[in-house]
Amino acid sequence: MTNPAGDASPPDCGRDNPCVSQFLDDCPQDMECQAIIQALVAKCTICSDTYAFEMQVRTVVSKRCSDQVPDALKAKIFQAIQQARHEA
Amino acid sequence: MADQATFAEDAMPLMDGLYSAAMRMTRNAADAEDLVQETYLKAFNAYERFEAGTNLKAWMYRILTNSYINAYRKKQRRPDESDIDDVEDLYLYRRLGGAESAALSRSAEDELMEMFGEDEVKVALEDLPEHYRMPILLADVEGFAYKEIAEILDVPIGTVMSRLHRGRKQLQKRLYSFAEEHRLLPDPEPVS
Repeated sequence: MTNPAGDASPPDCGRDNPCVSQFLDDCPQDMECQAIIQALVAKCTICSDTYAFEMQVRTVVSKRCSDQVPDALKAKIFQAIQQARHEA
Repeated sequence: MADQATFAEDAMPLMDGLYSAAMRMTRNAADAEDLVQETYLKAFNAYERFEAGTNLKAWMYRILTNSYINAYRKKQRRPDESDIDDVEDLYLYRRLGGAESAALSRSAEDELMEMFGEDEVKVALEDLPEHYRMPILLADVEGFAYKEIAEILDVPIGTVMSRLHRGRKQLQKRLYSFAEEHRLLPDPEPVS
């Protein structure tokens, strides 16, 4: 696998950096780490590919695990809240 | 302090997410419905103690999680607290051949959506031990930050991160095993 310049990915592409080795778990919500990751993935094809792939796996998990609450339950809970308000 | 009169308006939009989380926690619809109802009634009763303008979603998920731990978890029959073997990083990426693979020649998201249906992903997640399942559910499905997850689950943030790291790899391994068993993997590219 080569980087955009056609060279093999450099050994110091950052994959041993603690921030990057767990970049998908530790960093996406930390601005400082996020900046480091973006700089690394911009210059390393492997990091860029794996980062994109892992994020897409998460998107698939999120899309596949979303349920819609049954209307009957929604109505039942709304009614229970109104009743509790009335009794309060 | 929050006003009970606005509770329904504030909290009802969160119900789909809470129900999804309850389904993954309890693994059955009847318990999930009871858990969500209990959560809403507890939240309503405590709403005057909720500080308006702070994170209502995280507050509701904390009530949901505590209610689950206190009542429903005891009913779970599956011995799911044992630890599991570690799995290498980037498990699915490596197995599918990386970016040069035909499997990922189109958008990986499209490929993965085709490969794994709703039932498969839900079962893979629900089969994870609870201490891995909950952080993944809160982070990847519900979109909470690690700090919020630590507060919801009442564990240190480092624990959240390590459980996410290991749990996500386990999830990928289960998804790959499923694809392998059901012959959903693309044919390997011919060697030229």
